[in-house]
Amino acid sequence: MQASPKLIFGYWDIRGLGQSIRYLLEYLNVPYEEIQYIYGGAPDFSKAAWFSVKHTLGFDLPNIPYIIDDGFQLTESHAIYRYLANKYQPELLGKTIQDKAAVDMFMSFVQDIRDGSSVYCYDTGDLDGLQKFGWEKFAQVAKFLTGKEGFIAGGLSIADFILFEHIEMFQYFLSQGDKGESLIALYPVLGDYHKRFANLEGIKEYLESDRCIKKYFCGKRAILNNN
Amino acid sequence: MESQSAPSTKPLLGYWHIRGYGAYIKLAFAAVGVDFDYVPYYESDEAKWFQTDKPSLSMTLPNLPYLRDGDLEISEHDAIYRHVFRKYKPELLGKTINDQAQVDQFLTYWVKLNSALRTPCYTQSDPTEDNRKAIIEPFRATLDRLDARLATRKYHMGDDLTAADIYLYETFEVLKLIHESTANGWLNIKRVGESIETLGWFESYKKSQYYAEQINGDEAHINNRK
Repeated sequence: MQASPKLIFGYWDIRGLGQSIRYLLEYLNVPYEEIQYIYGGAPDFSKAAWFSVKHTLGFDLPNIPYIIDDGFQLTESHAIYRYLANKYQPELLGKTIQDKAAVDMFMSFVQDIRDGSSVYCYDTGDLDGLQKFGWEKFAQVAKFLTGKEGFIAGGLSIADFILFEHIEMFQYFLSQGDKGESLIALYPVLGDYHKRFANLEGIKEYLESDRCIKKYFCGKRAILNNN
Repeated sequence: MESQSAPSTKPLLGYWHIRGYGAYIKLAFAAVGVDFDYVPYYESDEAKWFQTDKPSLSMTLPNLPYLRDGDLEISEHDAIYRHVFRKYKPELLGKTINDQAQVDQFLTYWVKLNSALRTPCYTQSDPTEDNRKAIIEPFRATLDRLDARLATRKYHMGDDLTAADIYLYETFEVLKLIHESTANGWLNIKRVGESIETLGWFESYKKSQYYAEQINGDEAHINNRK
């Protein structure tokens, strides 16, 4: 009997935008095969591993991360999260129309944290600036998580998979340097949230496994990174 | 006893009275045929937003645009945009799981492109023609791909209009604002934008009291401000 085709997930051999997709695939217990494109190290930081195949895979909008699910091809990390939830566990999108809108809103908000960190991590290497930015954003996150388990009352959502990775990322960056402090120690609500997510069935096993990538939060060419 | 008018059950949109990010939401409401209450804010009286309304809103992330729809109060224009379709005409987001993912994918590309085009409109003072072309150039490869998708299809998903096409419309207007002849080079994107303008609901949108002509905020250097 032929095994059903696995879902294929393609991304760099880094955490970056792919990590939350890995968490989601593991949590959903979707059998998948990961194709890791090796992001070259210093000094060239070559992207040839991906660019050499980019236009040969038949994608409308070739990019990584991508998934190929039984022939169906998709790029754009946010579209991938929503597709995986929609197909395998729709409650993760929110159960009510209000929750669905709230999930979308929080996904945008957390994406803004990622986008806002780019200039510091990749262009300026300004740790001070990154830390100021991070404290401001996470004060907001802590505020609206206070008294709640996650973004929506309905339970776990795809926004939580994204936020967890950003807490890990900023726990690292905010603890660096002379002014370094622990994000989760200063905001116990974030600490509790992080612990709850890390203990979810599927997530816990993944985090403890050899499969789980620890490096890098940003692309290897980034000035600020957990090298 | 004082008579009280029943509270409006219509959704309510608050935004600066420009096109900006609010235009997408206004287009969405027009496309789904739903009337809404409109609270315009004017940059000449920005205290009304920053000092009065923003601090008094109970929503989690107060910002413009914001939407109130029944129990829901949200910000983030793309979340609001999706919500309008999801609630009032979900087929415009795609009919099957795979179609929904594809619409989402194309929509997300356009949302990212739109966002990336806006900042230079504000930061680049006194832009030359070459400056303007240079703003668009980094997106040439992506726009070529989106144009290629539309070369063999009426819309992103074939014959049926979706939220991705409507978002294309306004973003293409921004591309033309930045450098018209460059933008017009993407013939299929141009065709889709022009076909949206022929739709009945688009006419209603343009004639409505919430339609604004000005594309960017007053401080933008690249603008159609009169």
